[in-house]
Amino acid sequence: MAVTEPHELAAEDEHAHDHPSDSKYVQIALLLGFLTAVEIVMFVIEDSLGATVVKLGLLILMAVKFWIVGAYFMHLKFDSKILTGLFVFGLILAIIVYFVMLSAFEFSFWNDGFVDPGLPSSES
Amino acid sequence: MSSATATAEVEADHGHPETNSGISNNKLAMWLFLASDCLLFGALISTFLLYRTNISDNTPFSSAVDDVFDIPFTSLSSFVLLMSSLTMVLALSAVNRDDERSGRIWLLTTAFLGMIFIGGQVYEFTVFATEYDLGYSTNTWTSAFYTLTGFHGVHVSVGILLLLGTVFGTRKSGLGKEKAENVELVGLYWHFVDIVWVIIFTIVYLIPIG
Amino acid sequence: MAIIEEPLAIGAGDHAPVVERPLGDLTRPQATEGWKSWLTTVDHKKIGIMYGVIAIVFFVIGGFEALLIRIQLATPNGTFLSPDVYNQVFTMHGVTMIFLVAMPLGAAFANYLLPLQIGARDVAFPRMNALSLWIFLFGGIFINTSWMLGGGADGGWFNYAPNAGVVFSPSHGIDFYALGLQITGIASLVSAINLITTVLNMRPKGMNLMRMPVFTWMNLVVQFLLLFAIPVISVALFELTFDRLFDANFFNPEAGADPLLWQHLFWIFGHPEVYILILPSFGIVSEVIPTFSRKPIFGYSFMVASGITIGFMGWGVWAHHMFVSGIGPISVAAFSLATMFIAVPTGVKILNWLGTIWGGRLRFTTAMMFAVGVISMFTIGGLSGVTHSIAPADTQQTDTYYIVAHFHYVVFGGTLLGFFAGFYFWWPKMFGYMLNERTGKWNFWLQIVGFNVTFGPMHILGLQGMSRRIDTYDSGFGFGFWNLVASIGAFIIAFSVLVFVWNIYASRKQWIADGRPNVGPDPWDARSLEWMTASPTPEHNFDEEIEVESLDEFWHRKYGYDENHNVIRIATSEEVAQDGSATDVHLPSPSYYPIVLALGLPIIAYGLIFSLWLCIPGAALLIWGMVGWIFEHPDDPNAAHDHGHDDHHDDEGDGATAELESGDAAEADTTETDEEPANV
Repeated sequence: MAVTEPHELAAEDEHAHDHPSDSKYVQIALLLGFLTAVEIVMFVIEDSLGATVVKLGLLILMAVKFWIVGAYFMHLKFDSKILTGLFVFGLILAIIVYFVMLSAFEFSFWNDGFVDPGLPSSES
Repeated sequence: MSSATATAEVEADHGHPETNSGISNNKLAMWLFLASDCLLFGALISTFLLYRTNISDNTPFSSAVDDVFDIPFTSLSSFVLLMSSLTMVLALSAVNRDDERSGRIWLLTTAFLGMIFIGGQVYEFTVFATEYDLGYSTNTWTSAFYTLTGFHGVHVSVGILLLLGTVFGTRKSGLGKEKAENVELVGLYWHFVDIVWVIIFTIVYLIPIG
Repeated sequence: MAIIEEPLAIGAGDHAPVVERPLGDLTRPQATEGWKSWLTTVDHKKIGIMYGVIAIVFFVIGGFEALLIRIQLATPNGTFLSPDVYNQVFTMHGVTMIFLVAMPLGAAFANYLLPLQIGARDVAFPRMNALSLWIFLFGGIFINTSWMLGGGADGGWFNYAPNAGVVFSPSHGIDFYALGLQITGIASLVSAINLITTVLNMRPKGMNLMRMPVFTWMNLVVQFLLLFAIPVISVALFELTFDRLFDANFFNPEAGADPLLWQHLFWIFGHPEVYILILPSFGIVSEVIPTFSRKPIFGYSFMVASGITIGFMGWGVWAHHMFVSGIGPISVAAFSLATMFIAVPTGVKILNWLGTIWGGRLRFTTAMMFAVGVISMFTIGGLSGVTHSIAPADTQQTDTYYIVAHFHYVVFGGTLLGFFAGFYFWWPKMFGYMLNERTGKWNFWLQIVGFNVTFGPMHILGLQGMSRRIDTYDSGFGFGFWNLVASIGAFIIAFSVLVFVWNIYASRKQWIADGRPNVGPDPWDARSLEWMTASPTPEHNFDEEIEVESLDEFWHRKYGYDENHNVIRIATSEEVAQDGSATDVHLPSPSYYPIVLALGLPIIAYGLIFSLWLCIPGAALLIWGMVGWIFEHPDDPNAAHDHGHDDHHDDEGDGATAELESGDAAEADTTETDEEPANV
């Protein structure tokens, strides 16, 4: 939400019509399809790659696909920065808040075993 | 509104009144809604993550998730949804060119691909319920799984209705270039639903537990 | 169709062309006076006033529930209420006061004032604004009908799992709670999208963000908080609903679920909610104090920045509500620290208000007294809040009356007193007559005394160990005296509210007896744009767009400096203000569809609780409302309005409606709304 005067944005408005061509869209879609194929291959050969590599790889591919769809299909790359800001804010807020929440669960499980070592551990 | 009489000329040029941000009200509202929806799906995904190891609770089998999920099938339906994003942008591109006929065809194609995806989801749920006895209240995993994917399914269904509404609601008025923003907004919603599935597909189906 | 149309069709006069209407297509409402005009209005001012009236009605209901609680607790071993009814009363008291009083009062002021303060003619989506109001109203009524349908919710306003499950709460109360708050949540979300769009997009020339009044800024932050917090509670409530109605296992410990999930989700929403409640009041105080100190707000940019900071930090402190829930030492330490930090931006605000008062030429009007009341009472509540951030101390205080005292000092002493300041301040702008200052001061002193007599002793009771939500106590516990004092205080508060209602009635009566004198556009010598038009605000807000050159634009048009840099008056308010006489303004047209659409939601909710068959008529109403909405032109081409000199010019320049002009652009409006109901 930067302080924006209407007139500054007139120029940006022209940019908005700068869409990629149809063939470009098809190429992007093919790339997305290819990335999906890579994901599935990683899933299949999980045993030889190791769980950590697969997890990390899948998360990275997920983020890349997310970004491609957002930037090109949803035009964020060509649209007002305000929209990107709003959406990314919601996204990052969600990631941080829920990451902290899930970590708090981890910490509390961890705590269960620590505080009462003498007691029979209750299955959680 | 910001601009009463002063910007009347500008409006005439651009087809919509000038706003402070340079973004039309409708589009800004849609993006605000999508930003807000991130928190909605975030909460559902987190719930699933919390319970994702509990799949075999209260069931006769002691399987891991891998045995239940039909990855080739889900990959295919994920691919279908991904490609529906392509047809959606092609629809918008056609409407922007004032190519009404192609616009309608691509919109209908998008809706059709969406229906295939929903059909796949219904099939998957049916298999889960009948072959694996995974009912909604079987355990925490099933509740979280069905709710997360079900919410996504509802979003897709709403998207299908929007697409069909755009195609059939404009039969009289036409679907010319002046409607491009409406198509764009439906498209934004549709792509959002698609990227949510990108996340669900990876986190729920592909990432190994452990 | 005939059944529907006849009672609703209002003579469209000679405008109505004879056309074949499809089934269910409602005639465009034409009333501009009388109750029908209120049902179909899309005017942000009427909607704001209705929010206020509805909230005050709920305030009386919630206050009545509070009195029942205080009667029960006035003496040891009270038998006035059974434990079961007591549980319902305190739960519904909390739910009502937070969701049906404090939030809609914020919405009332925001709706009325936001467009005016930025110099706009209406909100970005006028029909969606009406939709929010009706959804909120029906949701509120829905929750309260639980009293007649098997009893209210009984798990406390945060309804912790698993106590909120069917096993421990077999009545339908918590179903009503979950579905009702879901419905009011939709209202808040729609309203948030609408108001953010309004503020970001519809400011007149020169009104950049750092020239907006602090009230507008605080409400912008609130709307962003709502935008991001509502979905979280929505998911929590969905999960609770599914647990209770469809045997899901989200919070069922028997199935291995972790009930802490509910607490986390609830408080991730719940803490931003605290700021959703308090920031509108901070905004009001920030308008009232500069006006009656005759000084600009001290440190405007710090005021704005601290509000935004509060908005951000409000997301990082939720687990301080859960220090005793077993979240582990690491989480407790982290959230304890974050909580201490959040006191800083709030402290900045207190300091800036004091800085504004310091050296000002003070006028202690009722509004000013309430504003000063907010500063002092909220500071007390804030300080007791800091004691909660220290986790070991909080462990002693959790679930005692100390907590009850704390949050009443912030929510009553902070939020509600702020709204009273707002009532006295903006009443002439809203209704064209002043509330009596003498009665107002009685109102204030009774309120502030009653408030402290009620909630002050609760600190002591809490430290003595009296449990929150306990339905009675034994005479040997030593709680008797302070409880009696608190109960007496509660009745003083109730009396002060009566004085307020009497003041509304008597002031109006006096005003009519005096021949309805005009209060003028600016009775307080105020600073922001809403005072730059006639009182009460004309339907079109401003005759012509105001070009803004500075913060406190209106004040700068009234005052200048002489050669010695002394402030001198350069113009009277009447000279500067617009007289509201313009007639060629084309406003968005009223519509039946928002209320039709909104009515569908509670019917679906009843259906989910009692019989799924009821969902069918509910969904039918919903779909009817949506389809009608989409195909209804937002701007009635036949509307009876005074065309000025030049029709064409008029049509393009009328702002609010112009951006909705393009065909079924309205479809985009409903995208937000038709998606939520589908999930309910």
